[in-house]
Amino acid sequence: MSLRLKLILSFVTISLMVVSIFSAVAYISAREYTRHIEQVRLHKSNEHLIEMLDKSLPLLAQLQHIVPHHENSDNVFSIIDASQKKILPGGSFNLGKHLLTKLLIQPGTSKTQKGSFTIGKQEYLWSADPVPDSQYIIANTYLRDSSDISTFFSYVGSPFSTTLLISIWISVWAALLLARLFLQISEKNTQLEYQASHDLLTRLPNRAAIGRSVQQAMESAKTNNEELLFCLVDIDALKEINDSLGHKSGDILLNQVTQRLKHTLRNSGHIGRFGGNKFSVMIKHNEINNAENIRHKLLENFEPVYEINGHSLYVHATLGIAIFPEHANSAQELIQKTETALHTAKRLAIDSTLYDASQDNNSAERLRLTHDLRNAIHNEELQLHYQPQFDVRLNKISGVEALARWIHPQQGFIPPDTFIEIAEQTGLIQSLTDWVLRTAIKQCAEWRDMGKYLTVSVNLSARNLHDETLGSQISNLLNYWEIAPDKLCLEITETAMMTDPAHAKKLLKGLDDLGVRLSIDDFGTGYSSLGYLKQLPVDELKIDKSFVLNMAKDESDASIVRATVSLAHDLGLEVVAEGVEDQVSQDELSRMGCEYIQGYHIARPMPHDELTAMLISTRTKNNTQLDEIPVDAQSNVN
Amino acid sequence: MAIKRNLHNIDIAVRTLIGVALIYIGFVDTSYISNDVVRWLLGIFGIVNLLAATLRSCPVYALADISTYQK
Repeated sequence: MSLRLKLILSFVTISLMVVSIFSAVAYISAREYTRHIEQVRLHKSNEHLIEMLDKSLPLLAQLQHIVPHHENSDNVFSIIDASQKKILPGGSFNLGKHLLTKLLIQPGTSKTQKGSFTIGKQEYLWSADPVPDSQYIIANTYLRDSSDISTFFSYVGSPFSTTLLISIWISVWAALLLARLFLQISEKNTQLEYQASHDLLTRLPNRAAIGRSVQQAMESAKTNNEELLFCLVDIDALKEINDSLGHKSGDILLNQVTQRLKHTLRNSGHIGRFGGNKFSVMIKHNEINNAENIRHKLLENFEPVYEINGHSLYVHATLGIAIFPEHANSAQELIQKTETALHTAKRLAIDSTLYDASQDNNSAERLRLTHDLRNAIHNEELQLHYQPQFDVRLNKISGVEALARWIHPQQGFIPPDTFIEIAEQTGLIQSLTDWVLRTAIKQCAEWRDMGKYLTVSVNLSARNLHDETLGSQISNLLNYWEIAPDKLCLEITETAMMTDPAHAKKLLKGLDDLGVRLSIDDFGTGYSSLGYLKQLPVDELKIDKSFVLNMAKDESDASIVRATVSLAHDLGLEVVAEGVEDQVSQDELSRMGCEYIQGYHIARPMPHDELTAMLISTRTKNNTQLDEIPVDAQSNVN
Repeated sequence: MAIKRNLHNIDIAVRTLIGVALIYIGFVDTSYISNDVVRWLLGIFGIVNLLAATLRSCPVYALADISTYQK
């Protein structure tokens, strides 16, 4: 039954009930009222009779004479002797008998009494009035008409029916309006519920709804001893399409992907819009729908070209997959593990990965390490080690590269690659670089005060290239410690420079204006354009150690190093070769014209006090200046 | 603002009949109902119905988003 019909029926029933109750109350009230009116009339008839009596004559004889003349259907009199409590002749004896049981006879009273009694189904109203100065009472009785109710309704029936009709009419109107109001509220609620749980573009469940679905599916899978596969599909090119063809095109792509995914899975799985460019797929994991098959099926969606606003686009997607209960025990955990798998796939630049705990960067362990690193930077618990750089032409140590080291209180040595990656991912790299610059420049000043004029090289991360305050910070530090700008060398990797070339160029120009040296680190491993490199205000190239390490054995590596040295010189740059581990390589590099060398053959990275002590001891032994340590002496400390 | 039709021909016919009957009972032949208030009420209801039938639109239908009229 529809809400509208229910409301109409309810309202009409209420109307009928109200009118019925009202009619009953009106009838009872009318009966009470007419009873009162009749009793007053009976009393007045009694009074009239009493007034007719002549007090000088015998009263009883007069009453017995008058009463029969005044009797009719509405007035039946009885004459009662109050002193003897009996009915006297001259009036109705039968009714008088009943009256005697009701009357409160008190000789000498003049009070009127009235009431009613029933004989069978007939109701009699009466009024009894004592005759003044006598023992007689005149009682007047009236048989109430049994057709009272029909008489009543013959009078009020018509207005009541009309009222009923009108109230039903109004009730129906009210029910219709109320039904409309309810429906509107209900529609609105349904709409809000839908909006809260669905993505309005693709009409797919949103992240909140996906979470609930996964939870329910997991509970069901637990009961039935089944496995559940959860997959995230990341559309790689969405941002580019949004940026280049507009958001409408991006929306069209998302809708097309939705249709293809629906077509692929038909009714076997649940698809959701997990976020911006991510879709989710949840499916029962079994022999047919195993991770490999699902991966294959989903990736097939991205093989055919997507036609968007006249553009034919190949869209690539990356998948992350996790399985319940193999990888997770709760919905939240399953989703989190799937996201981890997706990030791993993206990091490794492959199209999909199944969750692998060893690749999980978001583990509790990693979070703890991030927290500890933050504290270590804040409390200056990191150490700065320095690896000497040897000037081949002058045969002396001309500089050092500052390298951060972290000895964790519980875990011991944490590889720099590990904590620098964490710092880069968590934004701690800025604080880390600040600390390295402060410490390295201060140390440079200490060495200068000892008469050793070393150049200190500090590595910058790609993230530092977005720090607008870097230039002023370096300038302040150099001024504070009174260090010549060319005694600070900033090393930036080729890859970092190519991340945002325009920004890098602007920042490097600012740093060059300060007078600090700029070096391209790990040269040869990136994809930098020589034309672009020519425009950068750099002073030196650092050839990546992967080439230098093998140059003695691999002629092609030697050729690359030779070509790089030649190229750098042609561009007016000096060359630093990293990874020099033997005399043969050093000699070869020297022959090629390489200006500086760095590696275990010269010295390992070491704390400042060790380096200082080693230099002092070498000076004592060889009677040389700190800045003129022969390379042979250096090699002894490796 | 144009009044949008929401009454079917049968609806219009029924309302016209009821309207005319109630106006007749209420204002023309007063012998049916002696109570003046009741007669006036019926008469007014008759007018409302006749008006809706003439306009071919019921305001309550419009508010409740109901229509018996099918194009």
